[in-house]
Amino acid sequence: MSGESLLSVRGLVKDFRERGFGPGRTAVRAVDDVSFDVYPGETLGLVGESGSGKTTIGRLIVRLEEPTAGRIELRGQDLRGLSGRRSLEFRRDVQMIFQNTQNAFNPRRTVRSVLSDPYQIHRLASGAELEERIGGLLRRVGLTTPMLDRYPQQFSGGQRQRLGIARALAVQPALVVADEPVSGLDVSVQAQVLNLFAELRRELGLAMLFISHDLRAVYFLCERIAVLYLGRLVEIGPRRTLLEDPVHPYTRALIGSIPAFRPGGGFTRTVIKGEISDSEPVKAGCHFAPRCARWRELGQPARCREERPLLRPAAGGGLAACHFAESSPRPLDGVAELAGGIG
Amino acid sequence: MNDVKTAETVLRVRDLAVEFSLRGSVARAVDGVGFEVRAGEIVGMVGESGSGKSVTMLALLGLVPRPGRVVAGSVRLRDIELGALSLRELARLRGRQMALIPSDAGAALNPVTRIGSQVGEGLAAHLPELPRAERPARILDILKRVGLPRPEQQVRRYPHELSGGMQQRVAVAMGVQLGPDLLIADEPTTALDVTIQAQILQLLLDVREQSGTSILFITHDMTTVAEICDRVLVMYAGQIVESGPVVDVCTAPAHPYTRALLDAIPPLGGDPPERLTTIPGAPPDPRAWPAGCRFAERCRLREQLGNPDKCTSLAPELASDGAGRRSRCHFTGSAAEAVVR
Amino acid sequence: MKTQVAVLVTEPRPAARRRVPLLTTVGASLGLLVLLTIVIGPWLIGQDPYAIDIGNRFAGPGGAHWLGTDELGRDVASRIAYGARATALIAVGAVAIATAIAIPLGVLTGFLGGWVDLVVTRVVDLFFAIPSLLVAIGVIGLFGASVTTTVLALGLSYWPFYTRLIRSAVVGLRSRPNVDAARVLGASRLRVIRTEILTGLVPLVLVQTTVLLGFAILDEAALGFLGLGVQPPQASWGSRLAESREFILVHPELALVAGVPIVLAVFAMNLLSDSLRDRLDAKRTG
Ligand SMILES: Nc1ncnc2c1ncn2[C@@H]1O[C@H](COP(=O)(O)OP(=O)(O)OP(=O)(O)O)[C@@H](O)[C@H]1O
Ligand SMILES: Nc1ncnc2c1ncn2[C@@H]1O[C@H](COP(=O)(O)OP(=O)(O)OP(=O)(O)O)[C@@H](O)[C@H]1O
Ligand code: SF4
Ligand SMILES: [Mg+2]
Ligand SMILES: [Mg+2]
Repeated sequence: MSGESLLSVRGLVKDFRERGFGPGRTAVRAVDDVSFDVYPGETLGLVGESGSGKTTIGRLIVRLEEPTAGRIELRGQDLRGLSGRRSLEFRRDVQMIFQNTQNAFNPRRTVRSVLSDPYQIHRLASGAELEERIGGLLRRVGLTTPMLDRYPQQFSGGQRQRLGIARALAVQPALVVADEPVSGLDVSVQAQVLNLFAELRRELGLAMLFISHDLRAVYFLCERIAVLYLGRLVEIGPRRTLLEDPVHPYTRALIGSIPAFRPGGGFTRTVIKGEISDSEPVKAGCHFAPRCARWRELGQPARCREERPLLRPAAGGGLAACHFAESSPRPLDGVAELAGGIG
Repeated sequence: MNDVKTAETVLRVRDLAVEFSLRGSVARAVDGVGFEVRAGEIVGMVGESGSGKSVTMLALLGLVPRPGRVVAGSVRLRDIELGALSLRELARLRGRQMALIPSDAGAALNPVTRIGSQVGEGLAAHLPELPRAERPARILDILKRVGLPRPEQQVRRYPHELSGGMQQRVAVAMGVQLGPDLLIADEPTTALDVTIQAQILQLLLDVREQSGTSILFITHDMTTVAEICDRVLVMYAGQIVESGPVVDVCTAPAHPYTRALLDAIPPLGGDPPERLTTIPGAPPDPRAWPAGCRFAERCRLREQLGNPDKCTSLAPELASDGAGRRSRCHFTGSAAEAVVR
Repeated sequence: MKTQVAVLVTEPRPAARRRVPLLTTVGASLGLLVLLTIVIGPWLIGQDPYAIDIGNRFAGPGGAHWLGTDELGRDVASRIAYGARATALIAVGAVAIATAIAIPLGVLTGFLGGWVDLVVTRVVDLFFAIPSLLVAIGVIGLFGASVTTTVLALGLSYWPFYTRLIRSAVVGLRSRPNVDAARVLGASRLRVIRTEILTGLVPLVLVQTTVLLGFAILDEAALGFLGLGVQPPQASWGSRLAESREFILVHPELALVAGVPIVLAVFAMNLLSDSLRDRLDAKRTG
């Protein structure tokens, strides 16, 4: 990737305080010093286990949450302290598509009313022009204008996701954050929505941060993929490198646990033992250490528990955060060989 | 799994039909479904949302909710005809001979009962002869078997204190603790991460290995079916449209719908295609199934064959090829060749 | 096993439009009857509710006096019909005041959260701790008994719990993704409140309005009965009850005639609020 980045995230940190009252509440570090860039027209995939901080990063970028520390820049401009008009301009540049398609719409407003929002808020159109632009928008995402007077709950999951896309595209943003936009959809519907994304991106030159735990969807759509583990970015790189030659042990395990679809091949997935919640991460060291196969193979070196691994360039053009990235043998046949674990 | 082919039949379903009557109209959600599950076999049931997978499963368990009604068919578990049982007898059977693993264990577990007591309830209900004093050990044992870390601590916890993967393990534990002949798993991994998914699937395979339990595995994910199932049933619009050994069905689908389902899976590796293959349109309305083939509207094969009238006028039968494969298409066999990828 | 199965069929099913339930019909008919009494009752009866006729006290029903006459020989039917107007006015006024306080305050605290929420909620809690009848009696003690003070008294005794209700509904609505979506589009707080929060409150407010109307009719009667509400000779359902109280042993039919409309009106409101709730809930999940 070369050239100016559209979105630049540097040292992003987000702490959430546990629910409840009193000083005894501990803070959860949902996002822990994350940095990455998204270039114009590029789709970056963000993958990772549940609770790894994907949604939080998305919400920070669209400014639904305030970062605890770190910088988010859009075209070089710091997003902190944007106010008034500048803030409204930012809203036209960056949009979000939400995960839960059922709740992402107010059940008491018609599609027409919901899709008028962006035009009214930004004073882009009114009257007959508004009507025309909403119609155009709807057709663009594969729906028809008679649907304008229906309520969101009268649509199927796939149609509702198209509405979500339409709402986000109305202001012609440069960057769209899509949080799990295809999970919960049938394979065939999912394919339709993914195709729509691909088309829109080609035609509109849209940049996207595509959050998903479905690696097949991510691989189809995203030129680059970033892998999160417990709030930290552990690897980022071009999709083929990441899939065929992953460097970080967690990425390997993750790739290995995707069903390979080799009928007759049997169950060949990597099974990482233990779960995120079991491993109380050592703040100072590598979060993945307690479940890491490489760490055990290397005789549990102290470095992994004491020093935080930083993102460093890895073979294949990506970056990985592992102290022992170089000492890893190339996985055979693109399938990780890891197994075992704690527990 | 060669021995599976000759193993005895555990579940035999014939011509099962379930109707929902809603305000004058009747939706036949399951329409003439028939299949068998043999001992130690894992049978996958796939199909789009609304194709009738869950309703079929509920009918097997005798739990079709109102206003639904089983209107035809027979379900035999070993040599018991379930339709002839009273509600009480059926309830006794569930859990002991036939158990269910729900898709969302978090919602299915009782939020105010500790994990240990919940697992214990099943024991108390179905194994009253087991002395009370031996129950705790039994509970720990089963939780250990499903790979729940530190079971001694977990039994005292409430469901919400467990992660989604751990909750699902508890659900599996509750399903397998009495060693049922048949385990019905309705989308047991859909809500989980791939890594946790892999753990649960491994667990189901282990259960089958250790106890010879048969599993009916309901999902809409063909890739998972390809990994763990021996045979697969493809559902469309309330009917089985294709069935057969997984490898055959996945490598050479006989029915155009199966083919379309497989084609829609985004490929992994290499340069991704410009666009994914999709199935146009949507499934028909269960209140008014079309007269001919229910897939005709969306069928690529029919289009390629020049839209023969037969497809829309005559409903195809689920024809068997005599070698364990069935397909509900007038032009079975043309599917594999005619669809050019 | 039962509980497990309930969650299996999670896909929302198209809600079947149900036939109008019997109780809704009953509630609506009763409500209509009350409304007719208020609007055309006095005209229909054509009697002066204040015309005293000492020679014709405690007359039985019949003739020009459909429901007979009272202790002063006044026409009971027209006193009930005119009284319905006063009572309805009080009920509507009281609910309007409670709503006018509860919605802005509930929305403000629920939506903004933070210290505004903390402070206002404490104040509401304080009021909440005082029995509402006490609040009403306090107001009446301060300003004297009249139609206006009854409106005020009842309105002021309803707002705390109503505010709480609205606030907790708003807290729920605020964290829904559609609010996030509006914020990401750049909607101002006011716009978010208008398009996402207030629309979401409609069902709650509709239901609460009917519930509170029922309460208010009952409470007006109670205050009247205690002699703290509308003062005789002015006609209202409450004052009618108070007037009939003195003769309850000799002429219990007067108390009965005074009480039945109250029971019917409150019953109608309760039936209507229940069916509204069912209907709106079904719509939300449908
Ligand atoms: N508002 C909040 N208050 C407290 N903790 C939060 C909040 N939002 C997120 N968290 C915590 O932050 C962590 C990251 O959550 P996040 O939702 O970003 O994960 P995710 O990667 O999107 O997971 P999933 O795949 O399940 O959507 C979790 O531990 C979560 O519990
Ligand atoms: N309680 C119910 N009332 C009315 N119709 C129902 C009910 N339950 C199921 N149906 C209908 O039965 C049909 C089959 O539904 P079912 O839940 O079996 O689908 P499924 O294949 O399990 O789908 P999914 O993949 O979404 O779980 C649908 O058309 C549905 O509308
Ligand atoms: S019968 Fe016709 S329409 Fe149906 S699947 Fe076969 S070819 Fe397609
Ligand atoms: Mg998320
Ligand atoms: Mg289902």
